[in-house]
Amino acid sequence: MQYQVELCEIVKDYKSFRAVDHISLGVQKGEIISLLGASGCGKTTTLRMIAGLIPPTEGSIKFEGIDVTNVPPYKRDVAMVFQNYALFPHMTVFENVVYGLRNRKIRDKAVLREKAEEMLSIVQLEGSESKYPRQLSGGQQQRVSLARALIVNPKIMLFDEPLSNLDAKLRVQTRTEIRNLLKQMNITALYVTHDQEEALSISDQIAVMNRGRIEQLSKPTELYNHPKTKFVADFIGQANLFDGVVEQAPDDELCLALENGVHLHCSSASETAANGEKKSVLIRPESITVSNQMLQTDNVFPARIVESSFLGSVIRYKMMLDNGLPIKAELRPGNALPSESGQVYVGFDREYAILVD
Amino acid sequence: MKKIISALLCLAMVLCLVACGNAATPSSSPAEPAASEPQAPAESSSAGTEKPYAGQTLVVQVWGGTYEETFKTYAAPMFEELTGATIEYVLGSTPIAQLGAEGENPSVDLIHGDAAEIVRGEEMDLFAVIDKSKLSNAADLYEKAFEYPEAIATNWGTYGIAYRTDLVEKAPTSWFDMWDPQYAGGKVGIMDLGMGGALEMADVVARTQGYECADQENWDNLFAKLAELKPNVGILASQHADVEAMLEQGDVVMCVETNGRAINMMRSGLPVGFCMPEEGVPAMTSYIALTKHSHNLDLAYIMADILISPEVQKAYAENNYYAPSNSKAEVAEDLRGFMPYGEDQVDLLVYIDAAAVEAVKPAFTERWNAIYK
Amino acid sequence: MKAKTKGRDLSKDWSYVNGWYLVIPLIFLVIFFVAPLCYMAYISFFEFNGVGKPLGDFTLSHYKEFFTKSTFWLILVRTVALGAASTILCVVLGYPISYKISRMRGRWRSVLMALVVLPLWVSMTIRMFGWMSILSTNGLLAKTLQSLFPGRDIKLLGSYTGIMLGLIHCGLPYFIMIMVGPIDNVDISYEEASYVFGAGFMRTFFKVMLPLTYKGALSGAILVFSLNTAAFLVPMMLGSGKIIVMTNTIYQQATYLYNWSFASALAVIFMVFALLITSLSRKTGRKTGSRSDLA
Repeated sequence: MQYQVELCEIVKDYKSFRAVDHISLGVQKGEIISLLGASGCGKTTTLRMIAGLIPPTEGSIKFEGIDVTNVPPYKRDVAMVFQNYALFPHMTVFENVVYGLRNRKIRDKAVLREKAEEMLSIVQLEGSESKYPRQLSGGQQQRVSLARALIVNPKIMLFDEPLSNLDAKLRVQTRTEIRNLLKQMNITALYVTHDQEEALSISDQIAVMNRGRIEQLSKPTELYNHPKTKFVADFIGQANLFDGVVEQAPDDELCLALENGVHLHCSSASETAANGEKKSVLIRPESITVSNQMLQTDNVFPARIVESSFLGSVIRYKMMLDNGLPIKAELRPGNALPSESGQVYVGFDREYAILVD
Repeated sequence: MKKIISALLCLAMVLCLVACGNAATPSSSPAEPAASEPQAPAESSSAGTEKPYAGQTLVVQVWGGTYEETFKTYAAPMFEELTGATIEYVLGSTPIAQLGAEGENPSVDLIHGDAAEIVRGEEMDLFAVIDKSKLSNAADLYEKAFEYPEAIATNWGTYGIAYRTDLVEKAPTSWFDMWDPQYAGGKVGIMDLGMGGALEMADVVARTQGYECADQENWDNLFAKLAELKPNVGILASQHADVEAMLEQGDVVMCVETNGRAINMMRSGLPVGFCMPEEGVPAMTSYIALTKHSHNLDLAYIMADILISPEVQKAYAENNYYAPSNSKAEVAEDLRGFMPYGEDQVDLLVYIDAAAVEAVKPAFTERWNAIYK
Repeated sequence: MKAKTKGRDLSKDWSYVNGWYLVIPLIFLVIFFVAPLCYMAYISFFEFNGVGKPLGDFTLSHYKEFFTKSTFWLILVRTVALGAASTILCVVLGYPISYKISRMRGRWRSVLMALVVLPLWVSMTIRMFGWMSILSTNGLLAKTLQSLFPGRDIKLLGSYTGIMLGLIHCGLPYFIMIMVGPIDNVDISYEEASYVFGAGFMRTFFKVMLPLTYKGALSGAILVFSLNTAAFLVPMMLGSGKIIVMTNTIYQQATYLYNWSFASALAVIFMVFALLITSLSRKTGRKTGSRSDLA
């Protein structure tokens, strides 16, 4: 099947610094892919190369199978939602929204008006046509910016941290709306963000980026539950990570020998773990059971609670295993320990102890 | 808004300065190639304790460049030695307008000027009538030196045609050689009004027609002739340096010039010749005058006496090629050809009727502008 | 709470300080600018009897002389035309340079900015001498043009072309200096948005960059226009005395003919025209600006 947008071995060098290092990525029609990573990981650079605002040093970009690497941005038929919205301050909302249509040689006033009204009603800004961007709130500006992008029905819609200037509540609300709109209109989108929660909730697939490379491209659940690398595991969600060497347990199950001699029963998503290989193990805090009594899980360790904090939906315990490993666990308040002092037991089954690279 | 206001302020400021004709325009001075200051007259102040005018200062206006150089090298030390006073210089052209505005408190005691400036100054009552009894050298001066009662002619240069010996087929001998159609396309440089040499040229042309340049009944005739020169005019110079640069570049092949500056160009190695045209050689007279309300009139007389002394006059002749007005000033034989040396030569020069011209200047300027601009 | 009170006091102090330190520049402006200007306007309405002599009767003859003589009109039109044409060229040439500089960062930006300002450090007379030798028949430019168009008589010195080149040379650094700021203030994302939404280079320039920077461009243009219409040395030296503009005329009247009243009248007329033109351009600028806002 042909990708709507495809990146082949894209490289971007700035003098001595390689911002993007051989990235390949395919986006299906109607799919939403997030580029997730810390600042400086090359995600925005990748986005701007797709938009055509900067040329790649190496590699090629294809839209619907056609090479557009050397096509200027205004001929690529893309749309973009900017971090600072980039609404033209000297134009009204209407002018802003129809900007892309006018550039596509649509001159008929009635058509423009109709389309703009439609888009503005989709983003729930009916009647704001004659206002100027400065008269709108940040959230409203973001919607206008969205309408401006949706109206051109682009081959791909690019989002450059579109929600980072909004307050937390609005952010959550807007991202669902964006996802619904994109799905409803079957628009292909690439979404750059450093906010993992945003990425998890909005995307069909997430590409976690690190140092100009894609560490892992997976569905959000897959990414969370079965990260391939330690970086991804650590980057997404809370994680307990321990380094060790793979050993085959007598019952033919996987086992990781930690440096201090502790053995953890674990599982691997990739099934490629060989004996003697250096790996890490990920245990999500919420997969851990903590009890004052002995547990019947694959891995059980006696521990002491160092610190507990109530976070509303969960209680987080920081504990020290008797064998010297620190570990975090999250329990729902209903499962809270009756007593936080004295000996506790920490347990988790092998399917929750996942081997990562 | 602020930017616009400040822009307007700039504009208005410039206008204001231009309108007032103040020193804001460096172009007005006939700037000569800058000369290093020779022999700073420093020692005089220490010896000045017993001198009669010790501690006093005489303000002298002098044209900058080689004229100033000769003044400072020869005249100034004599003056300071004699009086113990010091000289403060005002460089550039005669500050007629400024003196007029200053009224009874002139900022300059002794000025240099040309005939037009002397006439203008006399009209404005700026200058003291020269008292010859206060000048020990007065008796030795030619009669022509006292043409104006309020000024003394210190020396004479001439206006002629400087030309590039390598770029003209035939050396000019007549003013009307400048009219030759072969120099069309701006190969000739003339002086603009406001510079010496413009009216003088017009005057000689008028004289060939039987009039002088101030005679308005001849103006149709005169300006018709001047208009014929227009295709040849490459520059109407407002500073000597401009036209000299063009002569050096070969943009113009000949131009109206003073003998002194032409000789300086020759001496600097340029292939330049100087012609004293057959129709007549206009005089370029350098005058000095003393401001009427000067508080240092005695000192100014001493300075004036030094300037007409044979020694200083000789120095001007040897350094600037200006012919002395003092009959006792002996100039070396080989230099005499460069200047109108001797009383008969001086009398042969064409003298413009500066007073008559002064009266018709606005009208003359209008017609001049109309044909050349 | 305490900090708040303190803040209010401070701002009060500041307003006093503002008021006081305005006094000195105001006095300066009045003495050295407003007063001479008023005096200049005043003497333009009286008979002038000579420098240092009392003014004569009230008269409008100086103004009448200007308005009835086509030669003076011609000079005014020539001055304004030269100023306007050179300003337009300064804008056209200066905008891309300012754009490039304002989109640069770091050392190169400083270097280029210094290069732009550098000519202003050299005396005008010397710069004009430089141009005289470039424009001269045997100079670099004329020679190059001569070889490109053989058989044509190329005369740059003493021509309008020569003066235009000089005026552009003088105005350009100022325009660039003024323009870098306003362009710098336009976030690059506006341009990127324009490109991404399908506008090419020209459309982006006219639809986005120009409307967002036209105020700065107008200020720059007005400054350049003011400087160039008031230019004195450029037309004098590069016009070879053959092309006379208002400043030269005023100068001639004031210092050669000593007719200060007429010179003043000329200056007043010139100033009024310059003011009219600048305020007019500001108005039309505002109009086109607002139209592009609404269209």
